[in-house]
Amino acid sequence: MRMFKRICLFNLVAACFLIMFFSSSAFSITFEVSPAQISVDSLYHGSKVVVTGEVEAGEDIIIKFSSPEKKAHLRKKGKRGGLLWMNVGEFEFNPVSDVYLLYSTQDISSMLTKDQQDKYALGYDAFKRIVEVSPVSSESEKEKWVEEFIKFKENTGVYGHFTDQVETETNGGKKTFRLSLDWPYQAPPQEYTVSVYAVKDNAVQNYNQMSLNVKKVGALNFISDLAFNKASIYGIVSIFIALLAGFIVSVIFKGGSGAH
Amino acid sequence: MYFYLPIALTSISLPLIVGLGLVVGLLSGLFGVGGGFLMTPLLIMIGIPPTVAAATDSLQIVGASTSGTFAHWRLGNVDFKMGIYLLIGGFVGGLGGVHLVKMLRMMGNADFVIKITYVLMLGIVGSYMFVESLNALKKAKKAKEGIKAADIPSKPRKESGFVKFLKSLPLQTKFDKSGVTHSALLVIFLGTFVGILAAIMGVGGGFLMVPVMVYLLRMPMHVVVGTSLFQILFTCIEVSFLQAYVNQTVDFILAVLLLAGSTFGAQIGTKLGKKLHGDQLKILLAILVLVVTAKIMLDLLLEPSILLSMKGGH
Repeated sequence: MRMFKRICLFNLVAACFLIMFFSSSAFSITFEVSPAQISVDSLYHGSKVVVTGEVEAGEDIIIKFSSPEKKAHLRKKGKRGGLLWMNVGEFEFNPVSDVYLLYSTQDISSMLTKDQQDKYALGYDAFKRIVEVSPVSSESEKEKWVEEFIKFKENTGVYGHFTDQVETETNGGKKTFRLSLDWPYQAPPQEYTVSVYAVKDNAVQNYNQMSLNVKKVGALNFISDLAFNKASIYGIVSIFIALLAGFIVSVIFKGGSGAH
Repeated sequence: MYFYLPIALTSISLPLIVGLGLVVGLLSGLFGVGGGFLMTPLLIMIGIPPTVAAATDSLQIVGASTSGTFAHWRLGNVDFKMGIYLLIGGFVGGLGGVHLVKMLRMMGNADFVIKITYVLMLGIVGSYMFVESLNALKKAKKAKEGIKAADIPSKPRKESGFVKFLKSLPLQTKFDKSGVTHSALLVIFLGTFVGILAAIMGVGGGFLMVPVMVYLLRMPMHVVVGTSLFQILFTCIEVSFLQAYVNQTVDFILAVLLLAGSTFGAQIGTKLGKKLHGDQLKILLAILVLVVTAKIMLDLLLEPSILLSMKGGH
């Protein structure tokens, strides 16, 4: 009898765990990225990307587009001779992503604590704290050049933080969201990560990730492959075509205008 | 309509890029310059990475200068002999210049030296050409207005020691097409000099070669333009191949789009040049060089809006 009671108790506890597990996974964020792959062909000029999904009612949303982090080397401009602006050195920024686009329903600093921002690398404030710059001599100098880095990237449309583009609608206990954005053509072809964070009480409650593949296709892919993998053939063919183009136009002009 | 570039990894407007090619090709056919000193900064300005802009421009110049050289050759304006001698010098100078840049970089401050050399050379060449051709035009105008030759004080041309020295150099060679006789050593030396400067400044050197041919080699302006294009063609074939092979920075699609404009531009430029007087051509080139100098000076003096830039270019 005692044995039977123990088995019943064990089953009850296990059932509770299972219920808790399934109920929590039922709350996990479900979302879709459309299209899941962007094909970069010769006429590519960016693409429309739509992210739709659902979180718990009362939660705020942050959507982040990023690529694998790496080191970036950029030239720094400064004054020489107290008068002339020119390149005066080089900086290494590490770790940084080629693309860092954030879309949130509120300002990040009002949604998350500093620790949470840093933990999930969310927002420019966290970015400034995480990224290392060398060579710099002080923290203020580092901050200045990280700000310049952000400005440089924002200028080409691959970095940005927007608080007014995620549309939401609450239905019962759920909040649906929709983000439609113009994917920048300046973002290089590679695999990107789309992360969606559900935020409440100054902390990330839940998050989920999907990939967005930006891929060269067709003739564009063929040319790129030739340039990097068969560089000598690529060079010779390019020069031959340039010579031929110059010659053909020259012949056309000779015939067309009657010049001697 | 937009085109995506496989190496530059950016998208560009078709009319903009073909138009850019047309304008630079026109200047090339008109003045015998490759146009690298104009095209590369313009490409960077529209978002092409500096390394790709410089490398692709050299391939574009191959096409444009082929078109221009053919057009000038048909007009009898190419001195092949002179071109080959200058080419030999240019090749040696280019190699020397590249090593010089390496040395400067090791010593630090290379960018400062390069920028200052660039501005000074452009400024001096532009100003000299401008004043000289303006005086020549004034003289021509006076002559046209009927001032008798006797009224113009004509100085008997006395051979200077320098000219005597040049004439005493060995390997005196007659260049029939240009109608001049110079020592082959002098021509090769001048080619080397321009090659060194071109390598330091990271440009093809057409805008330096043209004044050298006009003022130091005393070649007639129309032959200068054709011969300069011939020489540029070979320099840029070498550079294009090296850039494609070593750095993988030549964007074929970008070059083709630029060529669509520049090959036609070079033909129009050649025809336009035929209608202009040599001094008119010189003064127009001088103005162009001075405008570019002013733009570079402004860029040096004004604080840039963004203090970081991609690596590469000049």
